[in-house]
Amino acid sequence: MFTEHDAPPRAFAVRWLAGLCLATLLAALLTAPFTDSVVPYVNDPAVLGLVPVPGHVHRQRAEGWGDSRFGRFGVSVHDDVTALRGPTVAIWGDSYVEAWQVDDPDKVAAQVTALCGADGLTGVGVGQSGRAAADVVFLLPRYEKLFSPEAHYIVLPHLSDVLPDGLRFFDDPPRLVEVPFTAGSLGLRPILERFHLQLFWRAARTAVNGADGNRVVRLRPGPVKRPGAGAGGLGGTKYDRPVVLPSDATLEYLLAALDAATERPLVFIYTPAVPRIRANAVETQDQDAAAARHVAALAARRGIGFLDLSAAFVRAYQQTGEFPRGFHNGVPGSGHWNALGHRLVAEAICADRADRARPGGGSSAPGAR
Amino acid sequence: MLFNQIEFLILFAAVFGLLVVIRANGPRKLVLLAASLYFYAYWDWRFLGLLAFGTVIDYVVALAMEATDDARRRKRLLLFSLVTNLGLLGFFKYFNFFIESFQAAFGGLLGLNLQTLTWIILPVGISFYTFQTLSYTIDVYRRELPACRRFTDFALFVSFFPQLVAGPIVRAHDFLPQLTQDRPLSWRRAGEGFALFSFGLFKKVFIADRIAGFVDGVFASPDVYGGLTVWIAVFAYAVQIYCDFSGYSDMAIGTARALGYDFCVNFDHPYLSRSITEFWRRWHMSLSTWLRDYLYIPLGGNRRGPGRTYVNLMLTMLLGGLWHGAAWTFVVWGFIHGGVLALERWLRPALAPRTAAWPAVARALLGWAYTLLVVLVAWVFFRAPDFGTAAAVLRRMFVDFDGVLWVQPFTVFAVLLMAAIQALQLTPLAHLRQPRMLSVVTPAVVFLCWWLVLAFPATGFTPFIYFQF
Repeated sequence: MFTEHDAPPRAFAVRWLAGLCLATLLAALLTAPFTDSVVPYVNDPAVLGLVPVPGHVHRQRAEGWGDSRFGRFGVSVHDDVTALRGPTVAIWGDSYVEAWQVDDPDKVAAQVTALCGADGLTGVGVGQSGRAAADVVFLLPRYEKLFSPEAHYIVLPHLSDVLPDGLRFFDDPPRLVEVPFTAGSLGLRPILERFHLQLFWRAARTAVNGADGNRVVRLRPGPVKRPGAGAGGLGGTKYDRPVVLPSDATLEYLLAALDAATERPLVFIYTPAVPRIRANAVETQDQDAAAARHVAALAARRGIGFLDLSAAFVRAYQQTGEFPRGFHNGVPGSGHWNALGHRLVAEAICADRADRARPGGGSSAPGAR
Repeated sequence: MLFNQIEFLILFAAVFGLLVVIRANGPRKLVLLAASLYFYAYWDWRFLGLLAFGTVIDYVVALAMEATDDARRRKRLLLFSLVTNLGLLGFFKYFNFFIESFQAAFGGLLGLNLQTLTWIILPVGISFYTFQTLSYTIDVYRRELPACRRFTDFALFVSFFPQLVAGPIVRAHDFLPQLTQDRPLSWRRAGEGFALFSFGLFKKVFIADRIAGFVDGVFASPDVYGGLTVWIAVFAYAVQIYCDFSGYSDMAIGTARALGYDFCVNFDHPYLSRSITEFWRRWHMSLSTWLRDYLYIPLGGNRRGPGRTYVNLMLTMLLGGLWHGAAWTFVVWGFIHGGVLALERWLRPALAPRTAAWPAVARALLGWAYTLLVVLVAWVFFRAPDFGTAAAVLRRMFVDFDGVLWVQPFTVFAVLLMAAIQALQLTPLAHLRQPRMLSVVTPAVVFLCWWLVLAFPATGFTPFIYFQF
C-alpha cells in the first residue's frame, strides 16, 4: 500500500507539519459556510445581564439554517427597540423565541409585524436560550422601560417552563431567584468571532470536553455502574415524559409574581411537542393536555391568558403535511419551531390581539386582562 | 474501550512510548499482552476469565494434538476444543435468543414465561476471538501450523488489542510468525498507521455516526416516512455499516501497523461488486475466507455436485448470518445471500454465453445494479429489529410510497461522497488514494480528517455496530 521507503525524521516532520498547515487552511475554507458562528456577549446595564453584541450577525447551521442579526438589549429583528413607534407586543421565551434556527424574517416577531402590521403593530422577540417564565418576572420591568408593549406573550414550548426547576424557581416554600445568563469563554468569544476561528473553537471544545460536552476520562477497568440503570430510570428528553405538576400554591406563587410584574395583559402561548413522530406513528395528542388545562385555569384566575396551540399545530400538519417543529438537518416534528411554527404562533398572537380588541374578548380566558 | 475514545489514545500513547523505550522483543510482547488485557478489562474485568479460559484450553489442546500421532486422540482433542469454544459462544450469544424464540413459539401454548431467564450478557468480541482460536486449533489439527509453544505468544495472538473485539479475524499462520520476529518501530510505519487510523476514524465518526441518527429515525418509524426517504435511509445504512465496520478495521490495522504488526485487509470496495459472489470477496474478507476455509470447504464445498454445492452455500451463509447476531432477521439476511450465491452459481453457465456479446459496460452496470439491489434488500433485514419493521421498510421501498418526506442534506452528501470515493477506484485516478509518506498530500488529508472529526462530531453515544456481534 505504501510505496516510499523510510523517510528521515527531519523530512518526515517537515512534511507532516506542512500537511497540518495545508489541512488547517483547507478545513477553514471548506467548512466556513457550514459552521455555527460564535456569539460574543456584552453586559448590558439596562437589562442587567449579558446580551449578544448589537450588530453581530450569528450564523446557525447545526439545527436549521438561519442568520440572526442582533439589535440592542438582546432583541433580534430590530436594531433598536427604543426607536420603535406605534403599538408593540413583547414575545418572551427561550431559544424558541431567540430562534437562531431561522432567518430574521421568519422569526415570530417579524411574522407578527408582517401579519398584523396593517394595524401598525410590531412584534418584539425577547428570547434567550434557557429562559423560563420565572426569568420574565425579573426582566419585564426592565424591558418595559425600554419600550412599551401593549401586551406580553410568554412562550411555553413545554410546561416545565412554569414549573419549579430548583435553579430559579423553588418549591416548598415557593420562591424566585434571578439566575443571570452565563456563557462560557466570554473574553475569548470576540476574538474567535473577529478572526472567524469558530472551526478551531469547536474542534478544541470537542477535544477537551467530548462531543456531548460531558467528557469524563475513566481509566479504571469496568464494569461501569450507570446511574439510573436498572432502577427504572426514564430515558429520553423531557418531551418523552408527562409533566408532574407541583402544588397549586407553588404555581399560583409564580403567576402572582408575573401578575405583579406588569400592568399590561399577559398571555401564555403553549406549543407542546405535537405533532411529532413517535413509535412509528405521528402523535397528535399532547400527553400534558390535562396539566396544561389546569395551568390555564390557574392562570385565568389571575387574569393571565393561555393560548394552547396544539390544535393549530396539528391542523397545520394535517393540512400541509409539514411539521411546525424540526428542520431538514434534524428530525421532522422534533426540535425548535421552523418557519411554519413561527407563523402559527404569530397568527395566534394576531388573532388574540384582534379578539382582545373586541368588547369582552381576549385570550379565550374568562377574566383575561 | 472504543478506538474513538480519549482513553484509547492514552493507552496507545503509553504502549507506543514503552515500545520505543523497550527494544527487546520478549518484554515488548509482555507490554502488548498487558495492554490487551487492560483493553478488554476496561469494558468488564469479570470476562477476562472467560477469555483466559478459552486461551488456556486451545493452547493446551494444540500442544496435545501436536504431541500425538493417534488420529482418534487428535480428533477427540479437536472435538473438545470445538465443543468448548462453540459451547461458550452458543451459551453467551444464543441462550437469550433460544429462550426468546421458545417463548414466542410455545410460551403462550404452555402458559410459560421464560423472559426472566434472558439475563445473559454478551461478552464483547466473543464471536471474533472464538473464530480466531478455532482457526488455530483446526490448522494445528490439519498439521498446517505448528502449535505455539510460548503461552504468552498464544495469549497475545488471541487478545492483541487492535483486533480483539471486532476483528479483523486474524489467522494464526499470519500473526504467530510475526511474534517470533523483532518488529522494529519506524517513522514510516508510525505515519502509515496514523494515516490509516485517521481515515478509519473519519469514516466512523464523521460519516457513520453522523448519518446514524437519520437511519435510526427512519427505521424506528418506517410507516411514517415516504418511499424516497426510506430509500435514502436504506442507502444510508449501507454507507453507515460500511464506514462503521471498515472504519474500525482501518483503525485496527493502523494501530497494529504503528506497533509493528501487519493485519490482512478486511474490505476492498465491496459496493463495486458485480455479483454477490464478488461482494463476498470484498466484504469482511477475514470472515468470508474463514467461513470458506473452516465451514464451506469442510462441508464439501463444490466437490460433491451442484445440488450439494447449493446446500453448502446456503448452510454457510445461514450460519454466517447467525454469527452476526442472535435474531431471525440475521438468519434471513444470511438466507438471502446464500440463496443468491446458489442462484448465481446455477445460472452462470447458462447466462455467460448469452451475455458474452453484450458491451462490457452494459454487463458491468447491470451486474452492479443487481448486486446493489440484493445487498440493499438484505441490509433491510440486517438493520431491522424485527420482521414487522423489515416488512414496513420494504413496503415503502417497493409498494406504497406515501409518507413524510425527509431528505437530510448531510446524509445525501455522505452517500454521494462514498459513492464517489468507491467509483474513483474504477478510474485512472485510483492511485491518488494510496497514502504517500513523503508527500505533503497524505498528511494534509489526515489532518483534514481530524479537523472535520473534531469540529463536526455526532452527539450521543454510537458504539461500533459490529461490537454487538
